Amino acid sequence: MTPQELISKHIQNSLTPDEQIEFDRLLKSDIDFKKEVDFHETLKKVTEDKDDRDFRSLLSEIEVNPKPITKKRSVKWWYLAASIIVILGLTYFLTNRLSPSNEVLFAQYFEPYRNVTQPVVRSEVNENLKALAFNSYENAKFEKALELFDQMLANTEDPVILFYKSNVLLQLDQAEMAIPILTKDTATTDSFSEKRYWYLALAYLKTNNPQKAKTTLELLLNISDSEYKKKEAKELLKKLD
Amino acid sequence: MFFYLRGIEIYLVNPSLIHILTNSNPKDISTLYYKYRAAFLNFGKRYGANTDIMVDIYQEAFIVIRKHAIQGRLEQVDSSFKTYLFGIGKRMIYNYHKQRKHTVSLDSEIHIINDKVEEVDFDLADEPSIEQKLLRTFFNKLGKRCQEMLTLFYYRGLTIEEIAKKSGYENTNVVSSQKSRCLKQLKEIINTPEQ
Repeated sequence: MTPQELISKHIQNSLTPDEQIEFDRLLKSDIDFKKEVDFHETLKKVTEDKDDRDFRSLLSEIEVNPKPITKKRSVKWWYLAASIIVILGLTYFLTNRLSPSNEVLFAQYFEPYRNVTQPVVRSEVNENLKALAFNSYENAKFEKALELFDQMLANTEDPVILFYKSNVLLQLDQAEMAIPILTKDTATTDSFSEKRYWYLALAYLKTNNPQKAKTTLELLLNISDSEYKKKEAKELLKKLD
Repeated sequence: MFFYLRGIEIYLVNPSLIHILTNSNPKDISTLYYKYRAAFLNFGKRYGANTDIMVDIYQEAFIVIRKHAIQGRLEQVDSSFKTYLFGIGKRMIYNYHKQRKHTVSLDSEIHIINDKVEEVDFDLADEPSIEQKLLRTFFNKLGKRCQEMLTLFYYRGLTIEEIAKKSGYENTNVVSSQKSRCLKQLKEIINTPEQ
């Protein structure tokens, strides 16, 4: 076990008795190890303090605004998306059985990315705005969501909010505006990287640029540590060939 | 008041409440907050604390009960959520009067009032060290996603698998490498001299 692994397990209180002995030995004999342990222990306190502060500001907001932030789980958009797909599917069958248009392919593959931002750590400001924005997003009120995302982005360029904004733009038939957002952030490596490629490919499809869509899908397929949409990407690549 | 069933303690704090506290969904927290707020403020009146002070104390008690939920301590208590919350509050009111040296009547009276609420002890937060304050400044410069990830790992004690599941990451490898990147970034921020 590496010293780093020992420290991680120490932080999470999960060292076995043998590992604990090794940990204590290093702590006494290795000054660099001790420094590293101190750093991680301080970081643990900092995250605890930050988490408490964020929770405190949530309570203050709740105190000021007694009306609970409503969050109706809605399946409306799935119905909407499903009906669009059915209608477009029918149109496709009736008009062009052999090669589906890019528009149709877009409709077949596009669905707004689910909201995974339920914040665990809250920022001191903007939290109400964020809750409202994602509430609109989840309830398929995309115009409202766009307006609220823009308000949030006026303060800070959060890549996650930008990602959801691009999803809203795609939904609102403004793919050409989603493209610069999605291309801009392809350099950012986070858990949204592969999702950006997927939605960028769809945006190119929607704006009738199948060549760029293909290149982007290939970039998505080249990401080694993710399986996100790879099956669909391969399928779509075949259809575009 | 302990309940035992063949030696197994029956926990009285509803597990779904623990989930609500640790999950921090604003709507659920708001519902829970207002469920006991009026009764708590009323409870405080008996101890001579005014409404503004009681609101502050209520919020602080809520923070402590959440902390206990995160630390797994709530799973081991033998009282209901409400009794536990009020017990923390009672201790806080006592501390409040003690700090302000309201010793004449309230200090002694608070323990005499027969309200069946047992005071609950809790650790008072230590004053942050200089290292902690410094690190906090650097930590705040990290992106939100990194802050979230490190909080889940360091404070919440979630395993890599649990983080992947909770935060919607594709797999554990992504979480591990993301966590290393965040730590590296934090160390880079620390080592970059202020402009």
